Amino acid sequence: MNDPNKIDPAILKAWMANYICGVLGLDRAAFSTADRFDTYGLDSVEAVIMAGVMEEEFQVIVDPHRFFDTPSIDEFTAVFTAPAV
Amino acid sequence: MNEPAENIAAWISRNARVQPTRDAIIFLERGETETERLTYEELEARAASYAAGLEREGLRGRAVVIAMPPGGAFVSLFLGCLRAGVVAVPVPFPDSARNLQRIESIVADALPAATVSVRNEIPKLRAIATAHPVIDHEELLGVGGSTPDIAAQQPALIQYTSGSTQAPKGIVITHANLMANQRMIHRGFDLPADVIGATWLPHFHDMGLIGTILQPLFLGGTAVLMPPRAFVQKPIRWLRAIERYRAHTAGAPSFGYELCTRMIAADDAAKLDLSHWRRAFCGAEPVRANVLALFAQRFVPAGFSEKAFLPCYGLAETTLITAASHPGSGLKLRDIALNGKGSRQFVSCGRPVEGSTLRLRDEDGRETNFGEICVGGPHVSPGLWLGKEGGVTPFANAFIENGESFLRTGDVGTCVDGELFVVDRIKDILVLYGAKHHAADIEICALDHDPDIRAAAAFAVDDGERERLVVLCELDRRKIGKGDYSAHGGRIAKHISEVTGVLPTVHIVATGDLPRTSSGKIQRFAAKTKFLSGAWGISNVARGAAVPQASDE
Repeated sequence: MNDPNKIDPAILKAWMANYICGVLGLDRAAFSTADRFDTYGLDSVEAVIMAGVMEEEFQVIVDPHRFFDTPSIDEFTAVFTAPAV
Repeated sequence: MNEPAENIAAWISRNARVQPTRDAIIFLERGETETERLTYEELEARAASYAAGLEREGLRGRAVVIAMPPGGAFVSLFLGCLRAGVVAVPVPFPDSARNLQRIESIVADALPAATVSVRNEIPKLRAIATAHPVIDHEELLGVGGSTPDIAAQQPALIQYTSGSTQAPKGIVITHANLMANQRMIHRGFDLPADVIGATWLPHFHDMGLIGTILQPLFLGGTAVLMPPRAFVQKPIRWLRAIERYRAHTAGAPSFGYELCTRMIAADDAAKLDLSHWRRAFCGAEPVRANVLALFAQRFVPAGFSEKAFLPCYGLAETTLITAASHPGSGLKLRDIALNGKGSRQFVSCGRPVEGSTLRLRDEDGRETNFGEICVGGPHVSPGLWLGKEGGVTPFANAFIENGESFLRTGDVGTCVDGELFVVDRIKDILVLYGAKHHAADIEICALDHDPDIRAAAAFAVDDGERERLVVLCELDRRKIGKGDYSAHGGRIAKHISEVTGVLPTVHIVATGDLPRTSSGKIQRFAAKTKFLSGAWGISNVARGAAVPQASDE
């Protein structure tokens, strides 16, 4: 397993944006990583599924609960990739 | 040894005396490695300890909300309640705003004497439950305590599963209901005494608690548990647990099987060994033949047997199970003629389990072979919890036949050769991703969001794979320019998604277009029928779309 703070936040952001746009059929160009997940329709089940795919993709442990605490791509990546205190 | 009382806690205590060192609970916190293992002896000791603490706090005979995460502590505390004569009210763990809101509405209805949770969550719970103490479960662990005689007709737990958020309904399950239904599941599923079950179903819902936690403990077997989120995150974790622990019994709503097929690649599937899995039950939402057929296709190479499929029918009001197909026979499909709407293929939910009586009734209460499913038997709840009085009020629409009380389920079915086929729901509950939502809650969401919306109808539409949420909103067209419909619907869809966690397809229709009763009440079922017939020129249920309605003005 990798350490989340070794992940480049920009890469993680881009990956999440692509994943969500792919799953929900959204226009990537019009998509903002600052929006809350639920405002563009990433419902709670899909968010938890994304946490599973992310674990495989980045070889990290993702607590799906994180998506409820930090409900946007920007907030999530900032917290997730921050060095552990 | 004396025959244990009609109390499942006493029954499990007996199992602990007979086989103290056998594993009762195995918990996989992330769905992978084992994080907790409790033998019967350990489970018994913890349940007794909690019971002593509950008694010390003077909670006997009172309702107590249990807001615990899944795992051994929840199971021990739940059994401790039953042992001490405390009425357990299992609720979700308050780790999201939505769960906390749910707990708040349950607390307001149940008016419990206490809420029990883990230390970290106590401040949050105190903020919403101001009228009663919120207790750290560790502070309840005590010694001593008596083992009171508890009447079989006393409430054992309150299942808050299908009530709307506006008016939650607590279904009272007595000790006698619990024991009767445990026996029904045992016989109906033909389970061995050393059964091993593997489950991810929520511990605060009937299917998870009654079916997948209590049933193995009732029989003296082992329940392997993981949190629902661990499963949804990586569905293969459930199947790996089935493989690793050689689980005999494991099941889910159709949604769980669908998620496995969607998320587990054929290569990974083929590496599993599912040959010990004998009872793959499926219930809680319409059993979908195509979903189960695709699951079988994917997992037969892993040794899964299609004969393991065990469709069943039940509801929280009947504790859990009411009918089950014959174990080991797999799916039985039939074309069922729908009144004037052609025919469709349905999956048999089998026969009523022993002790459960079914009746089909039409709208006027006359016996029919295509109508509302009504259930009688010792597993039928006596009614709803009355928080204020701490008592029970019988279900308003129940009826008596030959001295036996029958519950109206709100589900529509038919019987063919003695087997039950559930074809529709008349009650306004939508099951989406295995979770129940009240149509009224969703409609109120739309109405609250936008004062220009005059009326709304929410219903689920089957797209062949799963049910999708559709909301029709009536809008006064003079209020809005023609080109704005899409944006308008989109905003409502987003709001509903924020509140409920499910993104609907919102369609805007003109004021007066939704079917109404003579008293002006919106008829959801008629609205759905009209929608599906293409009356509005729309039947697209694409996810998240806000489809503009062509104006013919």
